[in-house]
Amino acid sequence: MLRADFLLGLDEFTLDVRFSMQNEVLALLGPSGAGKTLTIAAIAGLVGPDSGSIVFDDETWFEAESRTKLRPQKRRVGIVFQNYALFPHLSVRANVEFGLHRLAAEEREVRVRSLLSDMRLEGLEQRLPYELSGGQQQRVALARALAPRPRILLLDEPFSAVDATVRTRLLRLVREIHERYRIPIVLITHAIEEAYALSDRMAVLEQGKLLQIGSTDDVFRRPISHRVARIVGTRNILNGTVQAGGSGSTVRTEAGLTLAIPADYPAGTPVTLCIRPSRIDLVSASGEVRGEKRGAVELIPAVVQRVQSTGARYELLAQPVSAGERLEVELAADAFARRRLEPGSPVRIAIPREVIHSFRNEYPAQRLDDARA
Amino acid sequence: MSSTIDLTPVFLSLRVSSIATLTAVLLGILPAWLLANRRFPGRELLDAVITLPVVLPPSVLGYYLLLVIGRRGVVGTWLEQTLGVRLVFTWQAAVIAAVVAAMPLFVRAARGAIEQVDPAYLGAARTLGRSEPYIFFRVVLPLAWRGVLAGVVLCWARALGEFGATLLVAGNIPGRTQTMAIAIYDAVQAQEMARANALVLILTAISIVVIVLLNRLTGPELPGAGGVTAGARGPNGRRARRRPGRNRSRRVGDDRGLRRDRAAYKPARDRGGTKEA
Repeated sequence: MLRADFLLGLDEFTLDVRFSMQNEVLALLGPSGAGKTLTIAAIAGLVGPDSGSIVFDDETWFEAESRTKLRPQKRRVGIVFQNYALFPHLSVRANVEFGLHRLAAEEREVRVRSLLSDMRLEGLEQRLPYELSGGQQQRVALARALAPRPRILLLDEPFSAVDATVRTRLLRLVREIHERYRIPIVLITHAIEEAYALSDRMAVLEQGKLLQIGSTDDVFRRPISHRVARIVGTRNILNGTVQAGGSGSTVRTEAGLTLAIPADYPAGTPVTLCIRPSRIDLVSASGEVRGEKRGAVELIPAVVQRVQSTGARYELLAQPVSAGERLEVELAADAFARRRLEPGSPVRIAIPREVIHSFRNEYPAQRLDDARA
Repeated sequence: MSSTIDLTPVFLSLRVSSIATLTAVLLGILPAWLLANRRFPGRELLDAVITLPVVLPPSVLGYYLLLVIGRRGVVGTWLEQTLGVRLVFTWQAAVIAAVVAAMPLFVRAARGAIEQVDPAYLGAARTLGRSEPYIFFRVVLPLAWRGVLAGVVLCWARALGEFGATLLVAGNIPGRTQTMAIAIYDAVQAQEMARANALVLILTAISIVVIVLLNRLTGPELPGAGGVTAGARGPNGRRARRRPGRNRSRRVGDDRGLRRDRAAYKPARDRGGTKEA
């Protein structure tokens, strides 16, 4: 288990993180400049924090108080840099062997062979890094990092420089590595899909601050603030004010929708609602909807504004008829076909009440626009 | 030009400057590496002490050297009393003068070249468990060798032309301490223009060779002249061919200051090609 809790100042920038992780894939998600790379550099021991501690299992890697700083050489951390940092003057084989100096020659040979075959690099042993494709360089970097059997693997934007097909394969490869080597993996990314596809848990960073950490699903579905919602790509973010408190509050949004939400807040609380497009349905303008009588579904008369296909799914934009924010809706292809929708179709937006996620709006009302900009 | 010109100063100069360069490289490579990569107390001082001879007038430098290795100097007295060795007015003294005068050029050039090595390489090598000396010889030097070698050439050229300090500590003893630069001065003083001309021509020719060498080492690389390095991705995700020790991408490590190791991992706002998540 890795426990990191430290502060690291650099000019006007301060990195302040506190998290722990088990044997899992943890994604560090955040825009560029959030401090993600600095975080893993501190874990690897390449930079020293100013205060706090970093502990792996029972071994203290860093502790400001006792002036403990284990050298990176002793931490057994595998790291893959964003630009791979393959030694440009060394062959693929020499790169992979670089950290295997403690092994006997035969053992080293076996290790290198198995890694090269795992990473599908056979036949490239004598190549220099510049003679390889981006995906191959990536796999050499992975092989080199894994060779000395690290206790934790740190990946800095591993997929940023490869094209989509290579990326899909690499995603699978990282998952396989995690299962095969049974080591925790910290994955830096600014791409939501990568974090979602790979990670068990996710930490959201911005400007050196850890905004939220939790299971990947949880962070995606239930961001705790505007900033997190923006970073994890939440769509349908509505700001409003609680009208009536009590068990299950009623919220009036800025554009005039009135929605009953599952959470409780005192009346007058500024809140923000998040509604996932895939959990919203569009139903015919009349007729009864399941759950309607129980008050489990919000029904809003609306007009379809835009229809866009992404292949398996359809993305639609629905504009409420009276007042209210436009909502993004995502329908599976078959559901879309059954409903025979096109721009201009009169519909009702059906939102199951339990899918409305809410959090207290962290920005004062007048600064909302600044915050969004 | 007469064929009776004495070429002893040429050979003496070559010997003195070569030994001096070797000494400067051995003494200077560690400070160069430390200044490029480490933060430690006294770093500024070390930098200043090493650089000082570049700024000091050579005669002043020679005077200081006399204070140290002269017959009444701190080290000089000791040497003479315990070992019976007298340094001043020997060719070895000329070597010492050349080392002190020329070493800064080597240290500065080597340090610059070492600083150009992407810290990510060092980081990768360290996490792979390799010792600092191993990393230096296996990673840093192979990537920085051109700049380091340019420093060696510069250092050698400076040592070859050393005059002021050499004159003060080694004197002008024909056949023993009279180097080329001093021999030219001597020839002009004695109105022996043919001797002066010959030596000037030789020094000029050597200087031209040095310039050509330096341009080769620091200018754009000729195809096939050396290892082309990683086709690592530049800031915009495009492939950028790079070669060892030069024009290294400044994505990381463009902070030459004290906090270089940290700055290397500093979040960059202006990193192109990264879309907001």
